[in-house]
Amino acid sequence: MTYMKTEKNNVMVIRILGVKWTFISLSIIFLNSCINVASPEAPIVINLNIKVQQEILIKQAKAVEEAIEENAGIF
Amino acid sequence: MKHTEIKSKFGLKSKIITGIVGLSVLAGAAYAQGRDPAYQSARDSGAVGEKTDGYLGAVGNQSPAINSLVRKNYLLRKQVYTKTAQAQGISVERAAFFGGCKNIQRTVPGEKYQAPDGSWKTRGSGAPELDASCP
Repeated sequence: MTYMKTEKNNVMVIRILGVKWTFISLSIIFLNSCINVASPEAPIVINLNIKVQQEILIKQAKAVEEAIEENAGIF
Repeated sequence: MKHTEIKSKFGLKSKIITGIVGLSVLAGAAYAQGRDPAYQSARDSGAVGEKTDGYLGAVGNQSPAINSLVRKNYLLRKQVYTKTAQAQGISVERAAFFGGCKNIQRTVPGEKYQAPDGSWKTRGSGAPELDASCP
């Protein structure tokens, strides 16, 4: 009888713990999904900036190269 | 037998022609550069080299004549860089840096150039060491 009672108590403790952990893990999943929702747009914008930046850089370098060719005597 | 002789004769002739064409191309290239003879010989002898900042530098301790050549060349190049920088809306230093990338690429084997670590290198037959920021 006493044994049965302890077993019952243990089951109840496990159940309570189980509910607690499910709640915790569910909230973690919810938190994660909240963070994930915001991220997708940013990387595309950065990539475009790099591409434009690279094109400007090449254009500027080309202008300097042309100036050098025109004044080859001092370069 | 006769055929081989003709062939070898032709081979020699074509070699001579190639040599003449090659020399005239080299002479033409030197003429097109339009460099002052003193400047050209300073480059050839390795007394001056191309720096990463876009200007000439005296390699080691040099004569007053070489040092004055470097100073005068600095002013002339700065004018060209300044003009381009204004047209492009960038700083003179930035334009000069791009110039340095190009100048180092334009060196021919035997000429001196500055490596990204600041040391003087002699240009070999391969590509020179360029700064990682060169376009």
